[in-house]
Amino acid sequence: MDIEIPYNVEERKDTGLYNSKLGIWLFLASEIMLFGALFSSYIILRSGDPLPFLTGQAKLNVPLATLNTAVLILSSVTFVMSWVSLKLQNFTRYRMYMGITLICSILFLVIKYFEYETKLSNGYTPSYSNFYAVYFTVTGLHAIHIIGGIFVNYYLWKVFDSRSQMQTSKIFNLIALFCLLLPWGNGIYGYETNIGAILLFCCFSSLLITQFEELSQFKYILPIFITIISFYSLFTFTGIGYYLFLIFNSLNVIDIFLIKPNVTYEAQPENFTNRVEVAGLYWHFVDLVWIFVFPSIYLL
Amino acid sequence: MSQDSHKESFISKYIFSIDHKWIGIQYGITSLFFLLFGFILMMIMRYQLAYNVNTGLEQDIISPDMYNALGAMHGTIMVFLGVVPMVVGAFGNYLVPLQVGAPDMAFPKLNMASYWLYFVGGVIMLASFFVPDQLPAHSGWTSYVPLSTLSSGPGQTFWLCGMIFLIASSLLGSTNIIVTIVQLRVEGLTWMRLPFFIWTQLVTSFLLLLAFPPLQAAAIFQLSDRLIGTGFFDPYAGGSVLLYQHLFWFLAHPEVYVLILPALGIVAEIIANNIRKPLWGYKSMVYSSIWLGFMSFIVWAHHMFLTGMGTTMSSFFMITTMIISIPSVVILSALFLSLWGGKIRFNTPMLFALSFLPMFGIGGLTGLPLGLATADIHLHDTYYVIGHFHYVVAPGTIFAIFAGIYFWFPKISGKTMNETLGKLHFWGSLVCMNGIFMPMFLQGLTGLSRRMANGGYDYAHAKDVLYLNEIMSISAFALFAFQLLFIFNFFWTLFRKRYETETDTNPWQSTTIDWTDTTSPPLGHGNFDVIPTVYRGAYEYSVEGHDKDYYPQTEE
Repeated sequence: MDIEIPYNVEERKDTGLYNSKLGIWLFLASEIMLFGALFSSYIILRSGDPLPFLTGQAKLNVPLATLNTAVLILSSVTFVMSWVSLKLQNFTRYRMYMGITLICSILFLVIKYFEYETKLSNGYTPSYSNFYAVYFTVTGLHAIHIIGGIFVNYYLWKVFDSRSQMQTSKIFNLIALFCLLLPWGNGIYGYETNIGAILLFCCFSSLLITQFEELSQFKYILPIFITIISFYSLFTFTGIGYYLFLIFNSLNVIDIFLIKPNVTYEAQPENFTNRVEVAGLYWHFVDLVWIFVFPSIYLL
Repeated sequence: MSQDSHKESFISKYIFSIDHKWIGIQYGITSLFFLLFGFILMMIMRYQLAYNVNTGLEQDIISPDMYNALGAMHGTIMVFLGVVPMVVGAFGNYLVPLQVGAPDMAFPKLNMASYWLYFVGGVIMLASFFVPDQLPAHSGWTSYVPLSTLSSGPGQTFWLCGMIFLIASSLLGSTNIIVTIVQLRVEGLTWMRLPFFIWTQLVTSFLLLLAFPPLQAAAIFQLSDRLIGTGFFDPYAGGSVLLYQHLFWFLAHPEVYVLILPALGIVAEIIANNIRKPLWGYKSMVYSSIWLGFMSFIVWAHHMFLTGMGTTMSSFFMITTMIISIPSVVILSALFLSLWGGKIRFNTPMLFALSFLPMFGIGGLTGLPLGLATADIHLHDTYYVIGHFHYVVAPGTIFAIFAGIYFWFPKISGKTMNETLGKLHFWGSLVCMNGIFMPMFLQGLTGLSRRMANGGYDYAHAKDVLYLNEIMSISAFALFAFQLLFIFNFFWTLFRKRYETETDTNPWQSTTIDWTDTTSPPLGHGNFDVIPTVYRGAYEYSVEGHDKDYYPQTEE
């Protein structure tokens, strides 16, 4: 489209805002209403029937959640650092800090997984009591927000040229392969089908392809093939290793198909910095929600 | 800068368009379809009530459960898929950028996403009608627990999933409208020079933005109650039934103002244009609509007087309800007083807009007894309630929608709809609307419950008013017949050639930017060849010393 929307990049004089900044604040206002409704429901349910809440809360893993709080706050700090680096026109440092943010947010989800895992394997499902219903709904919705944020931040972090495309593809492939061979969970050991062997073979070949830049037009085929097979065998295979393999392989496919945005740092530095700022506002909000979730569900 | 220099593919131009005008038309077509669909559901119900009372005999065309399903889906479709997408999605999308002088909405791609989320939500709702041997949602449009969590079949699950899509859609749409109004106003278009329609869109968007998320939470809770066996709303598991009602009405009361405020905006535009003089009390109307927006967040529990939440709560919400009637009356009175001394042109849009005033008045005034906790004990859940809110929404908002369609049709297509057919459509609709809803007050006052599939056939105390069932049903069918005139007029005008006389881009001689600075229909993406500058307020009609009887906002 040829048309240009006014105040997309520069600030409007009388409001002092550019469009997406106002947009994200309105979105956050709406999010506050969503989490506000969740917290008030929590208060009403708890004051109506306090006992399951007290007994349920005693079983939560507070040290792990404290660690998670620290991880999330760290990710917010590095996010600010990344934005500041952009303002100082240091793109390399921006990528480093944004990378740390991404690692922290993935670490948050990993810790969250172990927390959920212990609860669910001990029979504390959402239907066990209303406390667990609230616990899983609130922390689960928060985790979904984290996942959304990770996608946005990754999109801002990624560099869209063929070389680094192959690099990231290689990393995803390696991790996926590693997950498939993980000894814990189930991995592919113990499967009596040949599918495990096929997956392993395809994964190796795909990794091999990423070694040669002249083969880059074939990079789509194997990851898609692997994803189809692995989703197909989702009902026969189980185990954390397999699930992680599935996740990282799917991420690889998504990554390959990510379209280059029309706003890049090289072309439009100011616009790109605005995007990072808006994503940062969202990320801090998600952080802030956790700051409320942690005391109200784990401690109080 | 505005016209398309390159050719676009069919898909990017007509299906996944990011042009606000085309998205507005998409919204309009889809929601008109849903309005018709909801109307047909209602006619099946009316046929049942008048001629096929459930007496256990074989001639019943629908079962009582099916009757409930039709009622629930009629409400849902009319409110969430018909009227709101029409007034906010269609009119808001099409007119807001044009009236504030913007080339497009602030976020064109989000705008497209908003339409397609709405579309998916609508398809999910429709799909629930076609599950073999199962009913669609049949727990009322309010989906009260525990009826809804325990209801059989997948209908309710469909309903909840559809709602989650619709909520996401309206979140994107309302953010877009607010940002467009705040950020993209052209130079000189200060807050008090905005057309009143823009003000109503702004307040409405805030209501949508802030009131919908609690329903999102309620939908998630109810979905997990139904699917994974949690007990948020189950008293046996320590849950709270009242919690659902609070979350629901926290949305659904502001939703009422979402239905009525843009309608007031449309009506104000049309009345100001057709009385050829400024609106009386423009500023007080603006402040009233803001006040209305704030107050609408603290009146929700007047829907729950009979839930046993206690007299203290009831008194509080009764008082706030009485207070919120003041700004509505201010706006309505300002519109009535504006008529005084005007040179009124009685064209079709004006007739619809004028009849909106007393119809909405009846709807509003009959709401007062419902807002008083003591009177509500008798009237709660009777046909009186149905009559009350349908007067607000049907001859109120729907008439405003018709007025808007007749008024802005020349803008969208360049052709004016037929006046004779339009007037016939208007008078027929007016008589039939009253024929449907006025008797409901009588039935309701006798205490006839609104939810019975047999229309109160076995109510001893309602014997005297049961003959009205047939009158209402005949009015409903006649109303449908008159809508056929509209449908014919709509398509015939759309597909006919442009008359020689229809070259004027401003056929109503309006002052606002949408008419004065773009052609009709507006050319291409980007709207304006020259970005206009605004010098005066929106309603400078019959200004002394000016050669024409209207003084366009952008004329120096």
